[in-house]
Amino acid sequence: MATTACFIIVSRNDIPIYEAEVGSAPKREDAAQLHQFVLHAALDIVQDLAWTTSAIHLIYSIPPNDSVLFIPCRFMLLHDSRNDDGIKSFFQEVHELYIKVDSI
Amino acid sequence: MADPANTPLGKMLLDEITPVVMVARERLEKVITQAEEKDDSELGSDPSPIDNVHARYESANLPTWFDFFNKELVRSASFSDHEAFDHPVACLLVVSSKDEQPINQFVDLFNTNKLPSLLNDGAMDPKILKHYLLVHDSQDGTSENATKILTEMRSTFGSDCQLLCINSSQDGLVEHQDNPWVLYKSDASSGQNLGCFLNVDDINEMRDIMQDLSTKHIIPYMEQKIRVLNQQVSATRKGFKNQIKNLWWRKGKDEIADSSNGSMYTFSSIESQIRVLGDYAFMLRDYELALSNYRLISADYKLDKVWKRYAGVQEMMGLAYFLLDQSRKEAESCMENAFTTYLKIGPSGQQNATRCGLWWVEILKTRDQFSEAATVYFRICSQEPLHSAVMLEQASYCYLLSKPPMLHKYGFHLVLSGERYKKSNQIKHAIRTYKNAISVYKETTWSHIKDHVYFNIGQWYAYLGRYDLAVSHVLEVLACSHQSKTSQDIFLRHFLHIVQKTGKTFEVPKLQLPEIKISSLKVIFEDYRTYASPTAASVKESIWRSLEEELIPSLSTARPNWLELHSKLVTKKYKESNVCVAGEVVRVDIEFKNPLQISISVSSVSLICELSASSDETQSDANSQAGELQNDNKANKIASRELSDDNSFFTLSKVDFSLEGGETIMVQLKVTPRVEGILQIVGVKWNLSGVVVGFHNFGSNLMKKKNEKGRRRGNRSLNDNLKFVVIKSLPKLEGFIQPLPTTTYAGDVRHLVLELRNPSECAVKNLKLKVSHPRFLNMGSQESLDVEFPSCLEKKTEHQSVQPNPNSISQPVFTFPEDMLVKAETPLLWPLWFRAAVPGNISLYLTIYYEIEDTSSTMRYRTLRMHHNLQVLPSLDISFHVSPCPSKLEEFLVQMDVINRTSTDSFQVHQLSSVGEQWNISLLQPVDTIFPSQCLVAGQALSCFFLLKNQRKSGILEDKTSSTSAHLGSVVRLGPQGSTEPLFDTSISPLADFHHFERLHQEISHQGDSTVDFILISRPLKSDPDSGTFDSLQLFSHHSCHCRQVPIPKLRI
Repeated sequence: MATTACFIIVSRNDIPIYEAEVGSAPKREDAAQLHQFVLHAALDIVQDLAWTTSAIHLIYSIPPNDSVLFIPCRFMLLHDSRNDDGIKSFFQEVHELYIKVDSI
Repeated sequence: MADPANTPLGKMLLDEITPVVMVARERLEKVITQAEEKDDSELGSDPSPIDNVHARYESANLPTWFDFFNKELVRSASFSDHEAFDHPVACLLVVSSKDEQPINQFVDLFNTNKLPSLLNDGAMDPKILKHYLLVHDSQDGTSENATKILTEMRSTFGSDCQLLCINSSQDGLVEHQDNPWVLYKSDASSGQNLGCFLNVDDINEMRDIMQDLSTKHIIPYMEQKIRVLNQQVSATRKGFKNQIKNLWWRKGKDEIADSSNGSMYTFSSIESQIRVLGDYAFMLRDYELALSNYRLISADYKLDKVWKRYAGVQEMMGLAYFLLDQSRKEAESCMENAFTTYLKIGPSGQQNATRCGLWWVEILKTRDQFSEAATVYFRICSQEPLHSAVMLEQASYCYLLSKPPMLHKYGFHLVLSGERYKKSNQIKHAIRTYKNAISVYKETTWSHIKDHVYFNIGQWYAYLGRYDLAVSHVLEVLACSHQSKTSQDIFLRHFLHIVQKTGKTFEVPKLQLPEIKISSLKVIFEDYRTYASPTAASVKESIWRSLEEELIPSLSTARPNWLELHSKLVTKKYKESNVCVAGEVVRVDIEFKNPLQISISVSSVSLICELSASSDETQSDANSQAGELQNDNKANKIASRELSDDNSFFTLSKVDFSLEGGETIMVQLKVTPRVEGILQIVGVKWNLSGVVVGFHNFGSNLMKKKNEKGRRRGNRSLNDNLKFVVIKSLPKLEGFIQPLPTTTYAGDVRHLVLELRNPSECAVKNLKLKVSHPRFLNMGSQESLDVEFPSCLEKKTEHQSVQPNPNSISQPVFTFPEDMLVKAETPLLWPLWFRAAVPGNISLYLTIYYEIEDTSSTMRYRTLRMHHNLQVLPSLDISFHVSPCPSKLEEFLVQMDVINRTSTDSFQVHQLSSVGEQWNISLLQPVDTIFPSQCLVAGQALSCFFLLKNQRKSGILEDKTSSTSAHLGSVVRLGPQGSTEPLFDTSISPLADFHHFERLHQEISHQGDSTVDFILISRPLKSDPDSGTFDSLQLFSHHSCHCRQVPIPKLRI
C-alpha cells in the first residue's frame, strides 16, 4: 500500500525549522501545502495535549546538564497508515538525535 | 448562569416554538393557502445575502447574517409529521367584501383537497380552531354591504366571525414612521411602502383583532386541549399498571411492526397525542410537563424503532433540559443522541440533523464550550458545498472565540470554508474567509500555506475584476523559491496575466523579483581620483594611497590644495558628502538574483536619482536642507521621475538582461549629472517582463549596512554614501598603454607607448607618474618614442647609444617635463619599456598626478589611476655555476643551465653578456659542438660552459674605458655560427635600467667583489619551428645577478 507521511520540526514560535516529505505514494502537486495546512492546524491540539497527557508520542525531557541550551520544539509526523510502534520508535530516535545535536 | 430564556437559543426557541398565529392570507383571486409554508427547496440553496466584502470584521465580530441563515435552515426543517410544533393550532380564513359570494368562498377555502398534506394524510387532527375574517376596503365604498355579509356569516359559521376595515385613510398616502410589519416579517422590504393607505385606526383595529384572536381564542383553546390530553394520557399511561400493560403490549407488537413505520401513528394514536401534549406544553412554557411527556414517549418510540420520531423527541428533551437549566450532561447527551439518530436515517434526516446540530451548537456556545461547538459545526457539514462552507466558517469563529483562542484551527477552517465557497461560486465570501485567514498566516513562515492563500485571493480578485487587489496579493507569492518549478511558472504567468489585464504598467514599491542584494551595492565615482578602467576602480584604496603618497601634495605643505579651497567655499555639510564632477559618470554596481528556477526577463534597469541643482552654493545648501526635512519617499520618487523625464539635470543608463533560474548578475548602473548641485541616488527601478515596474529604495532599510567604500570616513551610512556634491566640470585625463599584452613569457622586453588624452579644453600640467613595479615597467625618454624595436638596442660601432636614464633609476617618481601641457586634440605620447620580470599573475598599477591649469576650479589636482593585470608564463630557466679554474687564479669556469619551461614555444639563445668591465667571457667550445640546433624546443634543457676572466686581476685591463660605462661587459654570441645578426647592447637603456632593478631585487646580504652578473638574451622562434627563423620583433632578456664562485667539489662536469 502506498503511504505518505510528512515529518516536521516546529520551533517554539511555530516556525517550521525542518520539513521532510517521506513515503512511497506518488507525489501530489498540492501535497506540500496540504500537509502544511493539516500540521499547522494540529499545532493547537498538540499545544493542549502537551500539558494534559503523558502519551507516548510526547516525550519531553530535560537534557543531562544545565549548561546545554535546550530549545523546546515539537516533532510532528503526519501519516496515513496506522503503525503505532513504528511511529513511536521513530520519534524516540528523532528525539535522541535532537538531544545529541542540541548538545553539540 | 443567565436565565436560559434570555440566551440566544432561548430567544430563538421562544420565537420559533411558540403558538404562532397561522395567518392564512389570501387574495380573492387566489385559492387559499392554509399555512405560510415556506418553499423548502428555495431555502436549501438559499443564496446567502452577500455582505460588503470589503467591510472588515473585527476578530470577534461575526457576520450578522449567520443568525439569519441559521434561522432559515431551522425553518427549512419545519412542517414535519414527526413533531407537532408546526402543526397549525388555528386557522384564519379571510375573504374580501368585494367577493361576490363570500360565504361560498369561506367554505371553499377550507376545502379538503386544498389542505396541506399534514391534515389530509391524518398526521394531524383536522378539527382545528377556525376563525373567519371579512376584510373590507373602505376605498371601495361604505361598509354597509360588509356588515350585511358579516351577519350572514355569523348565522352560517357561528360567533367566530369578524369584520376588518382597511384603507380608510382619507387623504391618500400616510407615511408611517416605521413599518408595522417589520417585527414579524424580516424580509418585508421597506421599499414597498407597505400599508400606506392605512390610518392609525386601521392599524389599531388590526392589532386588536389579532390580540383578540390569540388571547381569547387560541391560547384558551390550547390550554383546553392540554387539559384534555393530559387526562387522556394519565388514564392510559400513567401509573404502574398502565406502564406494565404498555410494555407488554409493545413487546407483543414487536413482531408485526416495522413495516408501516412512518404513518403508523395517526393523530388519534396515543403516541401522537402524547407528543402533541408535550409540544403544546413546551409552547406554553410548561417545560416540566413537556419533558415528562417527552420522556414517556421517547421510550416507546425507541422500542418501536421509529427513529425519526425518537430523534425528534430526544431533541426536544435536550431543549427542555436546557431551558430548565437542569443537567447539562443530560441536555448534551440528548442532543448528541438526536443528532446521530437523525444522521442514521439517511438523507431524509439531514435537514433535521442540521437543525438539531444548530441548536446543540447554541447550547454549547451559551456555556462557553466553543471548541466543542466548533466540532459540532464541523459535523453539520453536508455534501452540499455552500451549506458546509457556512458551517465551517462558523466553526472557525468558534475556534477564535474559544479560550484560549485556537488560532491555527481558526485559520484552517477558514481556508476549508473558503474553498467550499469557491466551489459554490460565492467568490466574495471565499475572498472574505481567506482574507481573515491571512491574519493567522501572515507572520508565520509556513510558506506553502501562505502561497496558497495569497495566490487564491489574487486569482479570485482577478475573477471579480479587481485587478489592483489581485496584483497586490499575487505579488506576495512571486518570490517563492521553495515551490516547484511548475508552480513558480504558474504563479508568474498568472501574475503577468493579471497585470496585463489591468491594462497599464504597474508600479510596485517592493517587488521581490528579481532579488536585490543590497550587500553587494558598490558606488564608484571619481572625485580627484579618476580611473582609467573599471578594474582600476575596484582596486583597494590602500594600494593607491601608498602609491600616491609621494605624488600628492600633503596637507601640511603651504601650497593651497583643493580641499582647503573647498572648505572655504562650501559649508561643512558638503564635506560630509562625496564629491563628483558634473559630466562624469557615477557608477553603482549591484547584484540582481533570480530566486526562481524559471528564467525572467528584466529590462530598463536604471537608478532613481534626484539632483537639486543650483547656481548659487548657499542657496543649494538651503535647498538640500529643506529637502531633507520633508524626507518623504513618495515625494522623492515623484520628483525624481519628473527629473528623469525631462532629462535636463542628469542622464541615466538603462540595462536589459534576462536571468536564468537561480542566476545572479552584477549590473552596472550609471548616472551622469549635468549640472552642479546635490545628487542623491535614491534607489533602483526595473521593468519585469515589460509590464511591472519594480522599485527598490536603497536608503530605506539599510542604515545598518557597512559602508563598502568608506574611503575617508569609515562609519558613514549608506545614505550619505549615495549623496554627492556635484562640482563644476573639470578636465579629466584618459590614459591607455598601447599595446600592453595580457599574457606573455617571462623575460619579454617590449616597447610600449603611454597615451594620455584630455578631452576638455582646459589644459593640465605638472604631470607626474609612479609605477608600482619598476621591474616591469620603465619610463623611456622622449626621444625613444619612435625608435624601432628591437633594432634600437643593437650594438652600434660608434658609441652613440642612449645612456641609462639616471632619473628612472634614482627616483621612483617620474616627472614629465615642466612645460608640458595636455590639452584637447593633442594627446601626450610617452614611451614605456616593459619587461616581464618574473612569471606569475602580476597587477601593475600606475598613478599619474596632474594639476589643472585653471586655478579657479574647486579642485586643483587630480590623479589618474591605471591598473593592468598581466599573466606572465615561465619561459627559460637559467642558472649559473661559477667555479674557479683549477689552473689559473683569475679564470673561472662558468656553467650555464638553460631549460625551456614553455609548453609549445621554442627559443633561440642569442647572446650571453657579462656585466662589469672587469669581466671577460668567452666560449670554451664552439657553439656548434655543444648546441647544434641552436634552438631550444619546449622542455629542452641545455648546458654549456664558458670561460670567465677577471681582467683586472690578470692585469690585462688598462683603465682606459670611461667610468660611466659601468655596465659595459663582454658579450658572447650564441647564435648559429656565421650569423650576421647584430648583438645587443646591454649597457644602454632600457636593458641597463631593467638590469638595475633586477640587481636591486636579487640583492643578497653578502656583497663581495667576486660576484658577476649575466644577461642572457634569447629570441623566440616563430610558431613553425622548422623554418628556423626567429621573430625579429621580440626579444627576451634574462638577468642573473650576483653569481658567485662555488667550491670545486660541487662542480658538475
